[in-house]
Amino acid sequence: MAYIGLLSLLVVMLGLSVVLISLNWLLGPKKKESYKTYPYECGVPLYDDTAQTTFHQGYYILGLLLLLFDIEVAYLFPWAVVYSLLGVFGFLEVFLFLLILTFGLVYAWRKGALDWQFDLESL
Amino acid sequence: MGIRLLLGSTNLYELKYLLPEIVVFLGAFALFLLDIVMKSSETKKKLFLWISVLFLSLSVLSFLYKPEFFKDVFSGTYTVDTLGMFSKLFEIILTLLTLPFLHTYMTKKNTFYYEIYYITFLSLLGMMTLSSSYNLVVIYVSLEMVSVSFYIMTALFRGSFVSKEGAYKYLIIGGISIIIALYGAAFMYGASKSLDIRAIMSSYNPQNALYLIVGMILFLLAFAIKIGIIPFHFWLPDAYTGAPTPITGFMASAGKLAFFIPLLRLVPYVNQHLYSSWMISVSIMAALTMIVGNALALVQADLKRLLAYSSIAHSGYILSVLSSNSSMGLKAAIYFVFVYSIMGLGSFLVLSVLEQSDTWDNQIYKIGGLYRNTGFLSLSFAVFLFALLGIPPTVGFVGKALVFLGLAIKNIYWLGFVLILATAISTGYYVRLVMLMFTKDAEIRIKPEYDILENLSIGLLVVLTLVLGMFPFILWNGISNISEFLFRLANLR
Repeated sequence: MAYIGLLSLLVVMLGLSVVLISLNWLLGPKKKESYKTYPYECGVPLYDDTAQTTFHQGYYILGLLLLLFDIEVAYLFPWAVVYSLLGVFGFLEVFLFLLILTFGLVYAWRKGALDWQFDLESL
Repeated sequence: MGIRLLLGSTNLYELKYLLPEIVVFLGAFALFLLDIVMKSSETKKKLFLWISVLFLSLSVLSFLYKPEFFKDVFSGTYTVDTLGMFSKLFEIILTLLTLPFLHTYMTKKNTFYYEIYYITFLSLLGMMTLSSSYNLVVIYVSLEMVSVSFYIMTALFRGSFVSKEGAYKYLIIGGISIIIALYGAAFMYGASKSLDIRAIMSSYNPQNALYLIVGMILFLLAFAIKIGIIPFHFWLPDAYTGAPTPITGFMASAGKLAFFIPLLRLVPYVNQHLYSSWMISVSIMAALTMIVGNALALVQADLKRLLAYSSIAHSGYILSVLSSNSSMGLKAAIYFVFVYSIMGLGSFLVLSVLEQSDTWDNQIYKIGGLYRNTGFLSLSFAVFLFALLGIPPTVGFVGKALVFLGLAIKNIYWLGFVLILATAISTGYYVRLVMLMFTKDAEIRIKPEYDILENLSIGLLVVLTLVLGMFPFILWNGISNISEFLFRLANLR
């Protein structure tokens, strides 16, 4: 009986999603347009409509950099929680950590990983 | 308050025991900053070489400051002892000998990467920490440090498909080996509630025996993959062939030395309860490696691949003597590891000079009549080949004789005879190379160019191979003390 609230939340959640989706399906206008089936690619025309081509390796490098800074935030969060407890030492440690990451970013920058001007011929 | 909370009982002044490591790390950092700041130019290439040489020499000099003979620092996670000191010194010197070749090789082959210098430094740092710890976590982290650097260094050959293929195979199989090491470490930790190999192995009791043995064998298998023992060797010839040749030499010498050290540290702690399972797995792998490695080297048409298989076979020789966990066996293993790193590096470095001419493509018949083209190179290559084979005035003979003694002392004669059989097989390809070099007419025109540093480097390796072979006690006395000391420590527990 202790979890009755959780159970009712689950029921409400399922019910609400079923109702909303079916209302959308029942009441929404249905028009056929050619661009509706067109794959979305950040608002630019598709490079290739078969989606089985090879991508420029610049995409992967950018993806890796993005992942790096995502993980950085994940590491910063627990530090921020106990910031007042750790004091100057914790601050210095995190400063070093961020410094090393920044050097990584500067390295990637200098080596041209952030240049988004790919040669379209090579795609 | 914060500092005390984090550091606990560790004292920052213990950093003085890590002086060589710190110098190497600073070198890596300085090179990295320089790479970011400077534009690519001829001066920058020269500057990188000289700065690396400077920092490595500083690191060698920092060994003069010896605070203590034996000490566990940083809550027992890091051990400063003679074996560690000795192997660290060796690794730094081997790197120092490799660097000039790396410079000319990358310039001639039009594949210059500045990154390779600081990645070399970082892998060297990993090797140094790997050589001086009993702690499973430190071993794991430094193993990753060395391996990841090696994957990158293997791939850093511009426009070479073989290099990328080798690096990819190395990455996949190296990753598997790391997983196996961690799995074994988990078993060992579960069996003993400790991360220190010394405490783990001496915590043997009948209740945890099974988990301890499983952990130990998995740990052994992981290192067997890293050093290229036969059922797990498939990555090694491809990675060694694909990598730039000086890097291959670095991986086969300093890398192999560093990968062997944790196994050597494990040997004195294998007590009589664990001995039978240790002995069976080690000796079977060693016998397979010696026979199959040499037999495969015999049929290679590519010189670099042949040397890679010879490197596999030598891992087998060293591993075989680990099956006798006696002080004599450990001495022989340490001796052979150091000695192989000298002759292996030498043979790959000679090859890297040969590869710089356009007419050379690593085919074995091209070596025909090399003596008529270049006397110094072919003579030193012959010295290294004889050392790898184990002919008396060279250091390889002493190594093999000691391995046989180490096996005989525990009455493991069958493995000794396998060793002799494998050496007999290996005669086929080493002697054929020497014969081709000195008796045939010149197959191709080669005019190798090498500067004073490279000359010095090969000369030093040749002198070491011959002098240590004629006066083995130079190295032996130190190693003998190390081994006795490790066994005495193990018996104290």
